[in-house]
Amino acid sequence: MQSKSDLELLEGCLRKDSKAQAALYHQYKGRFFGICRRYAQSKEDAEDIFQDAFVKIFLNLKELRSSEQLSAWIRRVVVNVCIDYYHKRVNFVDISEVPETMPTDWQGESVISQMSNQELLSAVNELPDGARMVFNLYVIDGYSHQEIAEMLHISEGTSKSQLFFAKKVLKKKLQTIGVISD
Amino acid sequence: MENFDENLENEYRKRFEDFEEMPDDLLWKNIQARIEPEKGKPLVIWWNALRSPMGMAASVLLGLLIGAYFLIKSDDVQPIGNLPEKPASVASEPSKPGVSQKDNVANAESAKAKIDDEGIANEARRLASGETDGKKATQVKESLGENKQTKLPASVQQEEKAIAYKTIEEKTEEINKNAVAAKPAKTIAQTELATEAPTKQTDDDKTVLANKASTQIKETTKATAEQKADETTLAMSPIAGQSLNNPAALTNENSVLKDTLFEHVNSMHGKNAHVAVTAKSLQAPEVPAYEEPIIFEEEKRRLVFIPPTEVFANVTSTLSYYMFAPNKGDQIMVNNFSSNSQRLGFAAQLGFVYPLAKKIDLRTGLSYSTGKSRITYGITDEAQKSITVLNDNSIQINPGKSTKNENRNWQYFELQSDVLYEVRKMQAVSLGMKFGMQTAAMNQPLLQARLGYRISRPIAQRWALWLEPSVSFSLLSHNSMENLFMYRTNGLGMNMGVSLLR
Repeated sequence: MQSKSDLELLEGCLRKDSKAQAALYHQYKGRFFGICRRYAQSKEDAEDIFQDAFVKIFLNLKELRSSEQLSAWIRRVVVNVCIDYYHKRVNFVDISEVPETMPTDWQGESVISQMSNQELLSAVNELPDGARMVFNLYVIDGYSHQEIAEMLHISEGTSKSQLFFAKKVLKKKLQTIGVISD
Repeated sequence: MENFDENLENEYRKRFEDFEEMPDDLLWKNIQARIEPEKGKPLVIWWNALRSPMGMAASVLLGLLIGAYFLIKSDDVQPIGNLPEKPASVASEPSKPGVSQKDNVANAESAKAKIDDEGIANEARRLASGETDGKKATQVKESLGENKQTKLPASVQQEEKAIAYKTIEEKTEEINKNAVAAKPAKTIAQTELATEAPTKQTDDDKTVLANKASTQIKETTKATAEQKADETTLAMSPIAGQSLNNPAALTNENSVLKDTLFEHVNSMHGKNAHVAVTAKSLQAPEVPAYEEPIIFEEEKRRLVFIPPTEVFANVTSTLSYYMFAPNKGDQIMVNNFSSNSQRLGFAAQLGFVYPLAKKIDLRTGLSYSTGKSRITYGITDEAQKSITVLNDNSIQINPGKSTKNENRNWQYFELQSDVLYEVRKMQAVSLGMKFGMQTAAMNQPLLQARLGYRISRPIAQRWALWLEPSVSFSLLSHNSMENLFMYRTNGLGMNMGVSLLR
């Protein structure tokens, strides 16, 4: 398929041109389904989020002022849909339930680098909803704690503690996976 | 520990910042289905009621009625008000039968305008010249600018001629004298006599014509005054309420009425005469002007054609099922119905689909259907029993049994309207009615309710193919040819159509 510029895609989508819509979808589907996979607990949830996000994108494209912001705007919409999807069920786990610390002789760095993307993704997916959200937003998508607090309607302290909790849990999970791997 | 955290974050960021995973292809179809543009609402609303099917039907019916009314309506204009019947002999120049009183008044107004244009001085010179009556009449005719065109009543024209010969004062005196002298009962007779010899324009003739004109004018004025305002008549003539049989009253009334009527004629008779008449007219109280009621026209709504969302054509095959109901009779019993052959009918239809609501459309179309029916039934006729003698002691009574066939060809022009409810994308339930008139001589109407399920598939950018299985139920019964039974025709149909989408 001949790739089109974002401007052409945007104009076509605004005309409800089905070909332009398909082109836009196919151009960005991999990248944004990847985002959904990170935020979602399962692949099924990711597919639901992905569909909702693209429907929202196509129906609200007129709000986009410039084609240069198309990719960033779509990313933001996808992330927002992810947050909304779990918004009602986000349960920020009490950090007192932090799992046990890892053994001191565990060589985490080498274990992580040897793990596949799918294993790392599974570890994130298994995090509780709140911790997973904060981890994705802060670590991968680069939002600050203040921004995360506004997006999730929580305090900055909660965001930090949830991140701490997420990393602790991940360590535990990765340790388990690494040990098994070893 | 901190080092591990940093490494963890870096590793995740590095691996998942641009992480991509391809979704299932099925997802795009689902997304496409959800972002398909909804069927647009009508661009222009005729008016609120028109959005409903009943409103559309009512507007079509109303349009047909209005059209029929204007087609049937004749061009004849009936006279307005109670005009006095004019004896045929009175008018030397009969007025046109199609011209109403209203028209005459309007034409008189136009004649007045012409007279004013020609000027009073010329008219006075002509009157004073002593020419023959016939010549004078011709001149007056000319001065009036072709009497035939003005369509003035003949009596008024006569009056104008007669009065034109004398000054206003003389005319008034003469009219008063003659009016007093003449018995009212003989007025018409005198008028008739005068008009029978129109070429003899003697003084008596003039007087009679003046009286005749006055009488007619008086009645005309009365009719007009009654229509508009009673006080108008009272103001113009203090004795207007008196009987016509009263000569004195009639005399005074005549003079006043004449002045009122011939105000445009008086203007022909020189400055002095005009002033005199004007002075007389001014004595009467001013007649309140008739005020036309102000009618505010409502802002006209623009009727704009609403384009249908779909134009379709389809063919339908229908398998008919009959429900029989024998008519009750003492002598004949009908039974053993059979209708297993020739049950298949076909129809072709053209129509439109209009949007009514988000998921509801109105589909309407005209169709032509044809089919056959072959019904076999048994008859037991009590009147046609046969008796068989078995032996000397016993007989056998055989009922009059027979078998009959009823074959019919059905050809209908039908109007079908359905409401389509979109239950899923490209799928809709249809529920509606079908009304048909048979083209054959029997002319039995058809009324059916129908229920169907339409499944569409796009075949091109704006084209869709659809199938619609349906069931139909007859709401009207048909009588058999011999009126022995009634039956209803139900059916299973399969519509196959193609639609051009907007």
